[in-house]
Amino acid sequence: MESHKLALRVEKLERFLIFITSAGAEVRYSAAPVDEIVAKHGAGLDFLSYCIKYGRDGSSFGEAWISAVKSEAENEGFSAKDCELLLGFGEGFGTSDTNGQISHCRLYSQLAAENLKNAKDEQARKSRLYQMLGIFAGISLSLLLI
Amino acid sequence: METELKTNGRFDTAANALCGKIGDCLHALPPEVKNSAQEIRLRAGRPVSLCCTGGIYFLGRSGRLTRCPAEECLTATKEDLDGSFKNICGYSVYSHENEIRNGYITVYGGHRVGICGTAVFKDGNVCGMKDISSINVRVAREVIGCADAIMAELKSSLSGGLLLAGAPSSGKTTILRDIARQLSCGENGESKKVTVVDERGEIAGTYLGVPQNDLGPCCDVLDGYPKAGGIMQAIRALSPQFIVCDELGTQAEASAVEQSLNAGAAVVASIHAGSIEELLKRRQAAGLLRTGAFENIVMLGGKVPGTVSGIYKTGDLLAEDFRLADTYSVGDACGIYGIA
Repeated sequence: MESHKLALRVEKLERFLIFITSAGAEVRYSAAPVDEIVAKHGAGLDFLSYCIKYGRDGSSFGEAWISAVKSEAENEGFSAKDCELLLGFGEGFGTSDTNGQISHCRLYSQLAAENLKNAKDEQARKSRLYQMLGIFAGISLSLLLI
Repeated sequence: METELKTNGRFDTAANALCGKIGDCLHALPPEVKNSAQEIRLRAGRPVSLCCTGGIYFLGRSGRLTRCPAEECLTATKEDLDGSFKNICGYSVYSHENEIRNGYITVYGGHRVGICGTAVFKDGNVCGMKDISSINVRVAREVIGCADAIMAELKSSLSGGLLLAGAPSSGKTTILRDIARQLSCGENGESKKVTVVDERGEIAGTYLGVPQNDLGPCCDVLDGYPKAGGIMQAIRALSPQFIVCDELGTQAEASAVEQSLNAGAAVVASIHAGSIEELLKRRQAAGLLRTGAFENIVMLGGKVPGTVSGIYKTGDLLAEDFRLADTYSVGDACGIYGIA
């Protein structure tokens, strides 16, 4: 169960990293508005689907992003630290000119990559631990039965 | 979208551009105020004001309007301005860079939002704006039939071109829009092929490719095109019988108008001028008239927007050394149109 959560976090961070990269490219080459970018590249991230939904219900993009992260991101597999990162990205997304946005996407892509690296390390470290625990539990149980 | 526009009314769609308590107070205003409002103005640390046909009013915290900017007035904070700015940009400032550089953004409903702040320079040119200090939302009106009197008076001579002149907020754009609609619908004869060169997005109010204002079945809209380039594009690609555009002024635009004359398209355009004397005194305006593209000049004036103060023949004006000649009033020129 715990191992699955770690794997899920890695998967979601990878998807978010792809989203940021795509968003940066969209800003640079198509100047598409943020809601269009989220709708086009947000597949696979539940909180982005909720962000679109809240926006359609009448919230501004900023409010929709905050609500979606607060209500969905942790359930989806992101850690509390990741959620802070998501909130930070949403706060600045769309609020500056093209160069500013490209820098913003680059910065958050680096931060997300760092979180992803930590998540992968944690997954590798704890997975081994869980495997060892399983083996020891199995051996202990065998000894008890003998 | 269309239904929402009709239900909420023009003022409400304009007020949607403003966020928070200011938007809420504006939505709560009585219908008669909403109908007469021409502009909603926000200035940092100053009371929110409404420019109506009767003058300037300030918005109170309780939602009541007052003539004097007292303490109980609703004040626009820096946060209100920043929030409204983001809202106007649809939280995508980067996708409005050119418009911000020009100082205005057109929002859903065709309302033009003027933005004022500190200029940001790059290589000696203004490349952006920071520290937004005031916002002016101009409420776009669509008044079907407001050009009836002009159309009835000019009849077929409209194909010789028309220049609408008036002071700011005199209703030039609203009348232009109705002329485009009437020509396109064929209300005074056959339908005509009309191209609207809508540099500022105020005539058609195009939003996501769909004009929000009724311009009839035979109208093409070049949205966001600079006027000079748009006129040339229209001539090359759209074979219009009429080209409609707002606020001509530059030499490049005068040249494009001349080109359209050679291509057989009549131009219906507007220009800023408080009086006929002012119009003729302005070098660029006089240059435009000398192109021969405008057989008629309609002067707008009076307290109520859309009031026609006179219709002139360009040739007569130029020939008589700028003396006001061949002036005749339009049948009903007493401000019945109620145009913003």
